[in-house]
Amino acid sequence: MRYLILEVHTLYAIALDQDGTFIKIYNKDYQVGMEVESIELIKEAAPKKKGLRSIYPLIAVFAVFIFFFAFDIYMDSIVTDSLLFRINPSVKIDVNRDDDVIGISGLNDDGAYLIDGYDYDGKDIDIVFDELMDRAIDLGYLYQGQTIAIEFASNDATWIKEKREAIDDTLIHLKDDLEVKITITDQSGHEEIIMPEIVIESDSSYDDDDYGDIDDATTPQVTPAPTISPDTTKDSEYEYSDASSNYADSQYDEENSSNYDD
Amino acid sequence: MQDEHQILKKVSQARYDLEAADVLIREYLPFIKSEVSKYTGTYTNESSDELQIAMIAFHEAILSYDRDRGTFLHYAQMIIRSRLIDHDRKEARHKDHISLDKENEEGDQLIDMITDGRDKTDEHMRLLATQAEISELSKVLETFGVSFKDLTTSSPKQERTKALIQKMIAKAKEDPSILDDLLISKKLPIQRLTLDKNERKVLERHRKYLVTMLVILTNGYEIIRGHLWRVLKGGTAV
Repeated sequence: MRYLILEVHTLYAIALDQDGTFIKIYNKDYQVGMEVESIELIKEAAPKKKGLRSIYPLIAVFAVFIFFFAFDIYMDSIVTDSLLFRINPSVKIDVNRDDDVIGISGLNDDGAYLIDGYDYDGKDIDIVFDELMDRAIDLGYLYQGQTIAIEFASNDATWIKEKREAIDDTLIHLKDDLEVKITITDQSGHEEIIMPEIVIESDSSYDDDDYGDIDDATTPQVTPAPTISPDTTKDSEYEYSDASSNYADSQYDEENSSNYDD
Repeated sequence: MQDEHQILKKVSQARYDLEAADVLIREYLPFIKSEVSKYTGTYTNESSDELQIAMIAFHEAILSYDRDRGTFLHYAQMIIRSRLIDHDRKEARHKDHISLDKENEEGDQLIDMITDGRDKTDEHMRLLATQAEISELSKVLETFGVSFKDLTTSSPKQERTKALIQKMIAKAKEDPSILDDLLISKKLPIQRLTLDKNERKVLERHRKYLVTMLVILTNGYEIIRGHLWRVLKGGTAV
């Protein structure tokens, strides 16, 4: 068999044999156009083993996907903010970064009793709060003249503001039904900042017989809650901190004193 | 350490890529020559058998190296030396014979002084003519997007495929307009060549090879056609 040298490189040459097959051979000082009889075929490494190795990139991508999926699930299970309320039952409602309620817990025996059997899954925090208030009334924990202490445990002033507004409807509803005193506390870090006391009072003309009736003319006005600036995180930055005293001492007294029989 | 890391990277690439191996060998040619010179104790000629052996040994080292074998260059050095020793042992068996490459006092090689009835001038002219044909073929194939390197992977290996290609060649020889179409359109007129679906499928896999064979059938490649006369006539070379 004769081989025609077609292309020459340092290590190898390309030759055409008389059968018409193009082959790579070791270059033994060949020149293009030479016809040779004895050649040495180029040695090639065994092809890379396939099998598991070929799917390594796929496994890596899958592992990264699983990692992020697991990480996302983990992050969703972390409590970022909480709302606590204390009547006699004390209950804590926890939400995650997506604002989903991920847990409620009774902080005392009555709290545990109040939430027993309650399904919070898929509900917003204001709905959970509202429904637990209703349960508290039904179970006799919340009645006329009581104080509801609400505490927001969050470092996010915007979240506090939003949730404060979200539970307003419930607070108005409570005010309509019962004469209750509501205090709202904002916890920033380790430092507790007392927000202005919000007192939602009922019309003193209501008596037990009128309970449940709504009379627009006599519906008491809810004293508007002071707004919390979204960028306020420290005591000194809260506008309402000083305003609260003004609110309580002057505005409140002036506007509502006629409704009180103190 | 950094150098060794770089070498290993190149070796690893060269193991599965002949082009990369060629580049690596060019890069380490001084090292290879120096190893040969160390072994022979003389200056290493570019065309010496020893240098060819050493280059092949270096490639062998690329293919078989792994980290457990120490540094790559040390391993390559060992393989080169070992292959040169093998070559010497083989040569020793013929020590009673006179090498045709042996030079006389005037620097002429014995092989040049022996008359073999061949005309050196004719041979040289033929070599130049062959080189011109190969160069022309390479240029024409380039217009089809085909290189000689491609052909080493698309050459048919199965007898059945070879027979099919020969059938197509015979068809093109019968109808030269197929070749004209090929050169003008720069596309393989596969519909005019194939008979059924399966044959077309097979030919698709060897499209570049068939293009080359058909181009060789056109004018201007007499020497190459002469080399392939058995195939182009429908037989197989011995």
